[in-house]
Amino acid sequence: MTTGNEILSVHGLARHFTAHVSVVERLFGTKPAVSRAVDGVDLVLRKGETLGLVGESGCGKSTLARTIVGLYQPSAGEIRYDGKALPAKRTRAQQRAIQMVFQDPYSSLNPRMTVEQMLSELLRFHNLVPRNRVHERTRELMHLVGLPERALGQRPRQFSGGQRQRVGIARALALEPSVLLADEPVSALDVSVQATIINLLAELKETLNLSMIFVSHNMAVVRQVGDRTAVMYSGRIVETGNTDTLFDDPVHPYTRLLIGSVPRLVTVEGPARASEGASEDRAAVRAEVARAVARDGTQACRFADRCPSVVAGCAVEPALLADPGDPNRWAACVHVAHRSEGAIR
Amino acid sequence: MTPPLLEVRDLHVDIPMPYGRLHAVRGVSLSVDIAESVGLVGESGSGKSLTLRALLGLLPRPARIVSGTILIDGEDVTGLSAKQLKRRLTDTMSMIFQDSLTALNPVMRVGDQIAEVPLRKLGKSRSEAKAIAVGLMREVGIADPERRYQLYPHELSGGMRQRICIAIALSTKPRLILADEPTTALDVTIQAQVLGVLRQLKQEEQVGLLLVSHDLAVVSQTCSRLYVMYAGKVVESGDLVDLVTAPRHPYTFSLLRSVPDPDKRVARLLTIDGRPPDLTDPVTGCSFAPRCPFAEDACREAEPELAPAGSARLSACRRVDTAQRWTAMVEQEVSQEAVSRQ
Ligand SMILES: Nc1ncnc2c1ncn2[C@@H]1O[C@H](COP(=O)(O)OP(=O)(O)OP(=O)(O)O)[C@@H](O)[C@H]1O
Ligand SMILES: Nc1ncnc2c1ncn2[C@@H]1O[C@H](COP(=O)(O)OP(=O)(O)OP(=O)(O)O)[C@@H](O)[C@H]1O
Ligand code: SF4
Ligand SMILES: [Mg+2]
Ligand SMILES: [Mg+2]
Repeated sequence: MTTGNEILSVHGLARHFTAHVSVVERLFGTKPAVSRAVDGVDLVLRKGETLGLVGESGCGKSTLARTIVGLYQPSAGEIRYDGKALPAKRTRAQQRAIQMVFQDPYSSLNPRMTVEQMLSELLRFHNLVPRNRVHERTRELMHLVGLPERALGQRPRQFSGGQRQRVGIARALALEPSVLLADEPVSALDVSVQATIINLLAELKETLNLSMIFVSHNMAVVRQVGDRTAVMYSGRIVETGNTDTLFDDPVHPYTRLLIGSVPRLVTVEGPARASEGASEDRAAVRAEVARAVARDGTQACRFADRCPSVVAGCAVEPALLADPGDPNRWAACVHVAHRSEGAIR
Repeated sequence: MTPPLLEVRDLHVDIPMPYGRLHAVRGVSLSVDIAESVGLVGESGSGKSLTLRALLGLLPRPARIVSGTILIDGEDVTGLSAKQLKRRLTDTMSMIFQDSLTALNPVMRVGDQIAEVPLRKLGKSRSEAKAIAVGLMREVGIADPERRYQLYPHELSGGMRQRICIAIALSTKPRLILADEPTTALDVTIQAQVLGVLRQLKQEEQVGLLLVSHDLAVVSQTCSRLYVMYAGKVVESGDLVDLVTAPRHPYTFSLLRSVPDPDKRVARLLTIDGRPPDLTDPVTGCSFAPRCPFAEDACREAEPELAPAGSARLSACRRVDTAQRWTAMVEQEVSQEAVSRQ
């Protein structure tokens, strides 16, 4: 999955969490449960592109994003930025280069600081502009994200949700990053406000030449913003491809289910479309997969217990492979290798 | 003609605030027929949740009903004593919320939570109540209900938890479910399942639905009639398909144009500039006028009332007669802007 113009890439990246186990439980020999939130992710971000990252709640999207910006240490694997592996302790320049915009702008901003205080502190700490230009720069940042200059004197709670998200974007942009990770930046917003923030991010990406990972569980939003899209399921990437091809012709059964389930505006009266209907009659195959896993100790495909296309071969987790029909597309499903024969059903 | 199962007339809800009185719901009227699914959509903060909560006497403090009439099967129940009213309302309706994790008791088995009403309110024995709960779990599509009965909320996925909430709502045998953003926290594959359960309840058990959401697509898959709220009022209502194909209020029109399409990428999403009015101040003129692409001077003078706008259709826009030309009008403006930018 290498191309010349990548700015950021992750290889076999994992981040596991260990649940807290009380002393008593430890006495009885309870092993702490490990949550494998991110479990072997390979991903490439190219210069100047927006990569949409979608997947169901709890699949590990936020954990992946937080690990990439350095808020979590990876449990395994590596993150490469601008051709070099990032060390456990990043330099200030490396920290600045990758910034994040959070879902809930309220909890990610300090409620006691005015926007001006918050931005100038950042600018000074990172020595981004000469001291006497700090105020000017904070004003520029307001213009950049479409807020009036008087917003500088306000505190987070004095803004609407959409304005607060603009403040969050200004905070990230103050550090002049080259990669922006936006984690559900519009999920908490009303549809019309959502549209203004999406447009703003698209403009900023052009004018500032940013590369962006846009995390969302809203498929329609990702369709609008992503040049490419990656689909995550249970800690792994299961499919990536150009957004339009991935949406119009999904390869992985999970992507198919996801795209098929997106609610669409019903403009003619009629029966609603069926979803996840065919999966019940696969019970025998699923049992066979479970037996094989128990016998051979393999890790099955993580989607096997919901997959409508499950076959016996799914007892071994498939690798992310290039689609023979489209080298830009990768998918992790036993059926992919046979796709040229039209075998996915 | 059979009267509607539920009818609300001219509901007003106020919230006293440090800086004044927030007139959050300003005269909402709506009705739901027996076994009908009705949607309530609108801008964030337009009063959807408060309307729903007012119907069940579940308003958060310090919000209160100022005036309004509630009719059940055509009978005005507003005059009943507080206790009788509550009883009448909860016998007829129950509610499900957005966040299933906080709605459930974390230290009680989910099955016991469903069995609680049959056990305590309907006077069933322990084993009967348990059988009812298992039956309800099966009804909302939970496989292996006997085993899952024993689990705690955190041991279930979001979709399963929301089904448990639906099962609890059904345990009172309601004729109408009030659902406030029931699938917003779920991913689309699970959302589709939960909406399927609600549709099935309507078809098989004749349970009506009043569904609040800001997602028109979700509502369109579940409901046959729609109310659109803006700034504390219903600004448009009618048959759902009619309404989304030919909106008769500029807010609905603009909303439909800013919804991202999952099947097609557009160069730039359309937005509704500006903000809804602050309802602690009195509203003069149409509440949408400051953001409306079609507003004329008269719109800013008096607030338009809901008026008939086609068959079974109401709209509170005084320029509704120009609706056929709205698309052309905004598109002309967009292209003029593009020219002036060059
Ligand atoms: N700090 C943490 N400690 C323990 N477990 C965690 C932690 N953060 C995340 N997890 C677990 O890791 C998994 C992935 O969580 P994550 O927040 O990355 O998912 P997500 O894809 O962002 O979901 P959502 O769409 O709901 O935001 C979940 O099972 C979650 O419970
Ligand atoms: N407990 C409360 N205290 C103060 N104000 C409240 C309270 N509950 C609601 N409000 C205000 O009343 C108005 C209507 O709120 P409501 O929750 O009904 O909106 P909504 O249409 O459900 O919006 P959303 O789509 O964001 O859920 C809003 O301006 C809100 O800020
Ligand atoms: S009444 Fe006027 S301002 Fe209000 S929605 Fe209609 S055209 Fe727009
Ligand atoms: Mg997340
Ligand atoms: Mg609400």
